[in-house]
Amino acid sequence: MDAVTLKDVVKIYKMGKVEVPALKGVSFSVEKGEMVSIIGPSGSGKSTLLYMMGTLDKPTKGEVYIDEVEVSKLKGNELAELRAKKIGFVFQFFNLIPRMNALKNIALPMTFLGISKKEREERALELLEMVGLKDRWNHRPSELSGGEQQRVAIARALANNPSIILADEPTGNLDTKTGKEIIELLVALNKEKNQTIVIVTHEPGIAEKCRRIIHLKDGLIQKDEVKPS
Amino acid sequence: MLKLIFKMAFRDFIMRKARTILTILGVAIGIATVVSLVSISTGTKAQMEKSLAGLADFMVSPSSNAFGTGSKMDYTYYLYIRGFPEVEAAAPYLEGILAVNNKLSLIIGLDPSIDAIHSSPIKEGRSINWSAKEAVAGYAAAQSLNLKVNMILHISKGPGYKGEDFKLVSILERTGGFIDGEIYIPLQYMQRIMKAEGKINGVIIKLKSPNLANSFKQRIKKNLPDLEVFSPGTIMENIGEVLSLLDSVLLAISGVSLLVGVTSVLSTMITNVIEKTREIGVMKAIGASRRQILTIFLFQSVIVCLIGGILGVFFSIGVSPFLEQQISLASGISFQAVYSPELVLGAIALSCLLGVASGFIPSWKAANIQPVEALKYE
Ligand SMILES: Nc1ncnc2c1ncn2[C@@H]1O[C@H](COP(=O)(O)OP(=O)(O)OP(=O)(O)O)[C@@H](O)[C@H]1O
Ligand SMILES: [Mg+2]
Repeated sequence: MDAVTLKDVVKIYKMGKVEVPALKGVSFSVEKGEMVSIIGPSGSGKSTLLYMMGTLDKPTKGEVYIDEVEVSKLKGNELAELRAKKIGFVFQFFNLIPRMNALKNIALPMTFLGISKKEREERALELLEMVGLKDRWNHRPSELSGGEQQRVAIARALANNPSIILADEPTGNLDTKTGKEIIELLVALNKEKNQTIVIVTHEPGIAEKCRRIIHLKDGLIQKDEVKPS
Repeated sequence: MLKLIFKMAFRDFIMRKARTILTILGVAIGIATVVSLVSISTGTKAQMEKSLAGLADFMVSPSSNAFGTGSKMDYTYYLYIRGFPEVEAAAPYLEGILAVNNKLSLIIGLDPSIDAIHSSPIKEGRSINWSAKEAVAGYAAAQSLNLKVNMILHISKGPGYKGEDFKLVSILERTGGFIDGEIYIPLQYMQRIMKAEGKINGVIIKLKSPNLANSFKQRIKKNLPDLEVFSPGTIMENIGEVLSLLDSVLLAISGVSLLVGVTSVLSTMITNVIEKTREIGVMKAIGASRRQILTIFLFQSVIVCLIGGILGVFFSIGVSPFLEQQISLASGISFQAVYSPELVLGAIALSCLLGVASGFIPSWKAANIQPVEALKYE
């Protein structure tokens, strides 16, 4: 079964009269349990592609399926629910809510689904333990290092057991060593929990960690490479 | 979810303390203004009704002279009117603002005929002897001039004028009506001090039956066309007109002060939303619905306005003794602002409404932020 499928996705940004084609017809599927990296130079459309997969933006043309549901058919509130339930985002700049401690940040996606406080906190603590920050539950983002913040962000992405994790340059704002640890954490998640993960990066060293690498250039897939295991 | 909304809203308070406090103050001042104005207007109406309750009589006086102090008429009119078949009792009066021990006060000259129309309850002292140089003071007049029974009052046309001395024989109970602010002396002396011998301002009338009002009015119109009949009804109408004018002025002031409140909430909320653009984008990316975002921000503005509103009510109640004092001094009537439960609840409801009204557009904007744009936003 596919976690995400894109069929001939085109995205054209209109800036006044100028049309910027960010994606020129992209098709591929990510199977459940896969770990895929999308690599390409700056401006090649990686982030745009990831946002399409995460239903944050609508394609100009083409279709996006999450768990085999076509997302353009969903209404606003259904889309929000789908994002809460099925997608976990990890961003380059962590994007935690500054006024909330680690526990609350992780619990946030669960509150959007109306999950009880007790259940939320139990699950959040479990996830904190998994990313190795259990004793830091009461710390705010400003009291955590970049690597730690990204761990919290990953835990938040996992909160509602999503079908897929979408990470946009998750190591882009970290030093090499910490970046490696974060990738290791994601790899472990994929291996041990069979978590589907898509990582956008422009660092070949990070792409290498994934069995499948999609090369993007000028809004087109140049190569879809699957290493033999 | 509700609790989260609470918490998010409160966390924002603390983070943006100064701005929030200023906004709350803005709302508080707006609501306080409205509440004070309404309490004063209600108080004025209650006062008027109380005053008029004791004024069940008709008055006849020269046209365009509803409340006295203006034009005068001859005493003989009184004798003539007294004989009208509808009239049960009539009393002439002459009033003026005179100096009492060098302080200005409202003085009315009356004669014994008034006893058949009004009986004023005496708080202290004895009834007046209408042929002696004696005076009676209303409750508020006695208080403001600091009068005591048996005191000698020197009454003259103005400070510095040569006047006459009267012995204060009684102070009346507080009635809440006009008489509270007045001092009575016998008509003959009043005429002498006013240099208006043989003149009166008008005649107070008690009809044999209220049904005779029309026939009495007709008779006056026919026989004494220079005079006008003021019934409690016409006085009520006049006052009603004044009050409705007052109300529209109050409405305008209230509108302006509420507008100030709305503007301050609006600008604070817009700033809040702009500052949080990125955060809102993140929340939407991780599954917040538009409705949830809308609720968070709307709740925040309602809370700010609610706190402002409650504070405003307290403000208003806090300053009301001062306002009452000022109004009493200015009007000569012991004035009391009226804070009804409806007013307090209404003010609180109004502040919630204010919160919804001023928070709606910013919250709507927040709810409609596009996550992709917001995530790029620094
Ligand atoms: N909102 C927008 N309006 C107009 N053009 C846009 C917009 N967002 C992206 N683009 C353009 O679309 C193209 C792809 O952008 P995108 O952000 O997907 O690239 P990227 O591969 O993620 O680059 P980077 O590695 O620098 O993050 C770029 O040419 C970019 O300028
Ligand atoms: Mg990018």
